[in-house]
Amino acid sequence: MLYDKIQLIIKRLMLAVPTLFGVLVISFCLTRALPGDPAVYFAGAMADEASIQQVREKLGLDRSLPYQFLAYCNNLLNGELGQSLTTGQSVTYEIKARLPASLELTLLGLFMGLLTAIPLGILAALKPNTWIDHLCRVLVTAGASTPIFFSGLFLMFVFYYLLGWSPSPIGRLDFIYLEPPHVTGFYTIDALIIGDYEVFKAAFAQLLLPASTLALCALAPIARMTRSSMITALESEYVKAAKANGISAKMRVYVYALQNASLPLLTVIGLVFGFLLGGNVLVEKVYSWPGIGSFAIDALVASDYAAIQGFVLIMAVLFVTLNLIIDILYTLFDPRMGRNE
Amino acid sequence: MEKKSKVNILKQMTGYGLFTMSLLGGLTTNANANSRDETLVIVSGTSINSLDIHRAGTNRPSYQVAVNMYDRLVSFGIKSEGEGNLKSDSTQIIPELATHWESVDDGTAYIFHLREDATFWDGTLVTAADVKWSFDRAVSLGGFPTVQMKAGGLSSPEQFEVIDEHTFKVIMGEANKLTLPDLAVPIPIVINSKVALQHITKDDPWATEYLHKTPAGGGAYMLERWMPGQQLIYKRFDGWKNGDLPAMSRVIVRDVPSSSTRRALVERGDADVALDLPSKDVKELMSNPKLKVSSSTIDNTLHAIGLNLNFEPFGNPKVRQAIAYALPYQQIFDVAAYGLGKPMWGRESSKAESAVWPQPFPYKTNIDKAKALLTEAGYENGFSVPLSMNLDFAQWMEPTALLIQENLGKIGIDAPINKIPGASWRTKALVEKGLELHMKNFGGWLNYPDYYFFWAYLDGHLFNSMNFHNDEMKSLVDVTLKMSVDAPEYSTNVKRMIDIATDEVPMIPLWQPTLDVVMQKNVSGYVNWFHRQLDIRSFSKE
Repeated sequence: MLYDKIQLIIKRLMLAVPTLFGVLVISFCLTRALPGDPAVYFAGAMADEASIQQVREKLGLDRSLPYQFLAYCNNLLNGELGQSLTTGQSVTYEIKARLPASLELTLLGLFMGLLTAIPLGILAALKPNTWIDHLCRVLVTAGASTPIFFSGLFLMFVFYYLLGWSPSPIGRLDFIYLEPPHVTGFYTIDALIIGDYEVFKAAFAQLLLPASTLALCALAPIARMTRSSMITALESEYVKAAKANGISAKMRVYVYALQNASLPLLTVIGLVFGFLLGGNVLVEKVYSWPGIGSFAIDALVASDYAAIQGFVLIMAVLFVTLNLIIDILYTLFDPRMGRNE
Repeated sequence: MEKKSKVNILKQMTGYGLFTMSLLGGLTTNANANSRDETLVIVSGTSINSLDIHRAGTNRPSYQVAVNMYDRLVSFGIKSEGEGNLKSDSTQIIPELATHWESVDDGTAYIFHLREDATFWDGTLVTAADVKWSFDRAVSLGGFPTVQMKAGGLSSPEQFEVIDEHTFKVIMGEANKLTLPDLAVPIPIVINSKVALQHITKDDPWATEYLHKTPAGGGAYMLERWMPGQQLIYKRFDGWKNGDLPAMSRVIVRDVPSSSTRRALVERGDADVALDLPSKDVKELMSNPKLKVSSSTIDNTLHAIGLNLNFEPFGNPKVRQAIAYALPYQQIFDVAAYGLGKPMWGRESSKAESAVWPQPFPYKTNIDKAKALLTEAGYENGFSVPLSMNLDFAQWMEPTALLIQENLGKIGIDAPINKIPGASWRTKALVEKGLELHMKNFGGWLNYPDYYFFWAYLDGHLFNSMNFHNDEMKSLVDVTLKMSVDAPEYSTNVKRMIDIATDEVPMIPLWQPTLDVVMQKNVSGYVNWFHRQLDIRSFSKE
């Protein structure tokens, strides 16, 4: 059985290779199809024809597309993602600095979302059409229909501007602190590693408002999915059989029903996580968060080829990994998976 | 139904509030007030992408590094603009690294005497060889630095000569009034060549890779740390000799992309200075008793409408004048600029009475006159022309476009709005020059009207996105550009240029924009520089 599972995982890994290559080709072609000429953009305000040409040659944009693609692949094999023109740094550096920032925020946001949504969904499923179910429904509707920039600004307005409880929304750490030495790139974890609780507190305080905004956004699909799959599970034959056999209500709900309900939930969590990671540009902008989303948007606006390609590639790798993890979790949660193969 | 959901949103918010609050209770740390006295905190909307202004791709916000970390030979004086506003004065050239200079060889060259005790951050003396290396670099690297040096008549390393350790000669070949002011712009900075030369490679003879991340200069501020996309921290160089030692020992420039967040930060007092706020916020903050707003016009800069002469109806000057009479100037100024700036319409006299630039054009909104002119030109049934705007400047261009569209409709011209992303704008508007009707903004760093006309009204020049061609304008600019402003013909020539620009009207000025900076009441020393960046050397805090 273990052997089966490993084989399944290896098969999934192999499948990821053509996906990644496809992403590589498509992102390369799409960036070239973007309107705008990066050479003109980066030659600067006063540049004349000659200096634009100079910049174009320097960027290698005067070469043919296949040549550019091969050069890009060659660089990739050497671990080089190229140079971002908008930020002036190598794309590798940018991703190394920004991906942990986004991950830290997204993970905390998702965690807060799960912490609220799953109990809420379970309660709503256990007591359908009571006040708790209505509350769940209202929260889901509100969460899904409040645009993220609005909830972001609103939370900032109330908790920073009016009440002054939250620290100033200027990014990952207030400037009076130095960021902890880079180990994981997560400031909270890195601070704990060196035992600096002051910095941990400061970094965590910075995280709270943006993470709450993301949690509000993540809440809706997760709570809804928990509720509906729990209702299905609770009404199913095996739960009824368990009840007839005198198995306690606690056991029925949290083991029999919840374990089965968690499968579709996992899929949704995976989707929500991906959405939050790539799509939280607005939260990043409002809270000055130096994350990967705002980096990608700025790169797109400037037709910054290397940066866009690097972003797309990293996100593709991340999604493939995420799907893989979810598939593996599936095999753990669903006893049928391994045996059927 | 609506009411219900609102109540529940509130519930939801309160729920989160309680959660956040309970966590925050033990967490909020009070910033240490004492360490803030000598530190200036600036929040800016754009981020610095290089510490080397000469590098290809260096963006405008990065110019502040050249201003604060490096010295030039000379600088501009500072004048009062009234209401406590200060502005750089391009008519007054003052010493920076050079203590004095003289014009030699019949005004075709300058000799600069460098301050003898000026040092770089590493303690080595600043010598004429460093100046030469830096200037050679600016004219050799290509791109923006080379173009800007050329604007002052400097294009080849042979024009720079080391006389002795502290004497440096700049040879123009012919007298040129633009050379000296061009040495005060951020480009001709003095780099520590001894350090830079240690980091050159065969592919990179000017150490662009090294200086991109590691400044090597002798300016009033040094780099404490730079976290791209997050913040730049300056610390004072206490051995600076080229001016009064700055008051602030540490300056933090933090990137805060959202303007609402910048406004909240400065209103709460967590930031000392907020940059790049929208005109609407600036206008509102002007009445905030806790804050100080500096708003003054940017020299030699216009927000304008360009009419492309290659587009058939615009080839006819009558059509261009008709458009100039059709624009709703006052409304645009109120809605798009929130009344901040200097109106550039409705001058009483039809001919220019002074050589001041920018000055209002004599056009004002007059739909009947516009209709009559269109009929005269044979376009009584109107035509259709796309009105292009740059999305990077949507803040003022979007409302302006809508107002213009409405008024052009009144004279039978259909103007669908064409929104162009910033990245393609340069190519389409300035390089291909293919936009028929478009909004534009151009400012010349050197504050001379002839310099403006050189860039914006001569055939083939970058900012002549209108494809305007006029022989008289060309010969006038050619003779006037290098002429001293004291020459008797200077003012006559400039007035004639303004009259040609007015009658031919390839470009319709709307208003002269302002540079707005919001700061705490206890912050002083802000100067509106032509390069639009903060010169932090003059700041102080009570």
